[in-house]
Amino acid sequence: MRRLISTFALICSIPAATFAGEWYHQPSISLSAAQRLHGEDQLTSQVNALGLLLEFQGSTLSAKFQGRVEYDSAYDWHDGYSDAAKDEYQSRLWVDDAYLRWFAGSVDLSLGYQKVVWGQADDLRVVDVVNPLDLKDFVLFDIDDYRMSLPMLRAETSFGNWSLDGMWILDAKANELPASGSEFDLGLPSDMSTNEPSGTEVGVRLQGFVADTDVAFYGFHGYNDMPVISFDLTGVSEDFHRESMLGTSLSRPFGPVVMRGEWAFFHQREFGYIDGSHSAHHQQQWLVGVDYLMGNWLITGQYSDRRIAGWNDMLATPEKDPLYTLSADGQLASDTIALRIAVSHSDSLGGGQLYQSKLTYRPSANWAWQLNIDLLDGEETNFFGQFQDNDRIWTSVTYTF
Amino acid sequence: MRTFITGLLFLSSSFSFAMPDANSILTQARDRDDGASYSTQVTLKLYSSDGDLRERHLYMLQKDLPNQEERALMHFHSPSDVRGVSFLIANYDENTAQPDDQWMYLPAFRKTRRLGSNDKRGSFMGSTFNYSDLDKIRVNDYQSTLLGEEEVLGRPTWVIERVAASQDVINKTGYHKTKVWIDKERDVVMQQHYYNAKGIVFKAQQSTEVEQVQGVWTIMTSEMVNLENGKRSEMIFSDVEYNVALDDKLVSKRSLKRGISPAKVPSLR
Repeated sequence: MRRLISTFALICSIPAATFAGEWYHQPSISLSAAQRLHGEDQLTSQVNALGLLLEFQGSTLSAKFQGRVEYDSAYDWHDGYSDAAKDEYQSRLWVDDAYLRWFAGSVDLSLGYQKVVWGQADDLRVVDVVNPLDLKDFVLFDIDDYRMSLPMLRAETSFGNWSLDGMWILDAKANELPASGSEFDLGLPSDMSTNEPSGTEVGVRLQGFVADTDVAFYGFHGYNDMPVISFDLTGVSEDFHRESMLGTSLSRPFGPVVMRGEWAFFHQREFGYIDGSHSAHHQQQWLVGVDYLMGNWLITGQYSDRRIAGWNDMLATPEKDPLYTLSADGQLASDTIALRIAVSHSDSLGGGQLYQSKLTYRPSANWAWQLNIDLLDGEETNFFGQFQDNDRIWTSVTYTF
Repeated sequence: MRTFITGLLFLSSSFSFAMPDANSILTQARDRDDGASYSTQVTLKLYSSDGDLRERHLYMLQKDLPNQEERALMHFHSPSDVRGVSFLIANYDENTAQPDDQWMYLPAFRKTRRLGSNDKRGSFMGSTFNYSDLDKIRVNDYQSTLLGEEEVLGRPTWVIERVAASQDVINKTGYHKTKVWIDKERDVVMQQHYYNAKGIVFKAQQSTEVEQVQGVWTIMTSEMVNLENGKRSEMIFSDVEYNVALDDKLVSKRSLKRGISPAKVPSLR
């Protein structure tokens, strides 16, 4: 938060004359609620939010702020949540972007809170390692809705069909796991110690267009966003470890379909063992995707998996983690209705599925009504199956001024 | 007899002089000089069958690149529900037989997505125009026949019937046959009818406003009516400027995400 305030102070300290250009502002107000389909205390959230998008475009400088403040009134009367969950989620400031960008000749420099999306995957992460995730609502929203912005200095340049993008993350963060006693509590001990990430991270991306193929190469040195849980006689701790990643992604049309692929190599990634210790192993992860455009519908299938070098049955993580997704995204009624139907199948740890239907109705440019249905199924040990009792309907109404 | 034959030859040659073949007309319309680049603002008006109106506003840049490539970048800046959506289309000269390349940037996902160009039947941003309607004339995609001459909106036009040359063309455009009216003097498409598999006209386009800008005849308003559901759309071009100084970077994939800002393209101010 201190760094966020510092960024705003920096923006405010720039002479007003510099901001001669095009301004755009877009306030919004939204009400949303989630209803669980099983058990007691079924109304699990009732969020009131005020949002603001503020943009400036000048010839040599641009700026963007996008964020919202939220108040979840469910924490006023819901008995099922812990104090820790209430402290964490009842009122929140969520910042998607807060940065300045300079167009310095052939280089764009941007400083502030930013989100960087790497790779070609939909809602899955292989080379997409820059920004961590806030897992308050598990993985039920679109991934960019829970991707956390990070303070960074970023430089982008291009030459011919290639562009180079380097970033220096000033304050490393990891995934925010659901608070203990919250709706999607992972069941980790509430009293475990945490070694948070600290310091900086660096990343670089080179992307281009060769032989009708979109190709990109990635390098990242920073923290694994997921913690390693270790334990001994003194207690349980979650530790975040540094690692390095090299990766690539490709995308190319073949007749009626577009094929996508990603591959990442993680050097010396830490893994927990069932005896409480941990050790580093190399890991490879990959994804293959196919998109088929049919009129107003985009049909997408994806498969991803991983291999851990030197895996043995003492590791607390399965050697493979196959994941399959199939989705259809359509625009109907002159784009006033957007519909997404998706199913994800995790084929590890007993198997599990996530079935999702997301409907957005925009009767005008100002109003949007959303209805999401999320159904989870599978073994309790599985990534999706662990929340088989958390099936829910989520709805929201947004007015943009 | 010789006189008769000579007369027939004369008739025949004078007829072919007055009535050029359909492909020549289409090629001339496709290749007419429209500058090496242009910038424009576009208002897309969407009318429902009840007459309700929704508007969308975008900036558009187009530039001819080496290797017979033409790049167009479209960036929606209002209203809020479409702000930031961008399309980049690379068209290659028809003779290269290279399919188009298309990318889309959706700000909600912060991601540039490659789109296949084999199916352009989808509605362009909710309008009655589909993506193939935005393409340049493709002469060889259809077998064309000159039907005659007619007047459209007070302009003399050639009337050409075009039958899809392959199933691939039908799959890409959704059109089995079209009938196109081309201004005889200005080489501009004045009107086009689109036929379904049953041979029935289901969409109709008309260029309701054409102006000369920097010596180039330019469609300023194009209207597309869906005759099946009564919806119609208008594409209204303003502040058109040809041969503007555009850096190649402004029509690159990197610009998809950054969008088009009048602050960086003076001709759009």
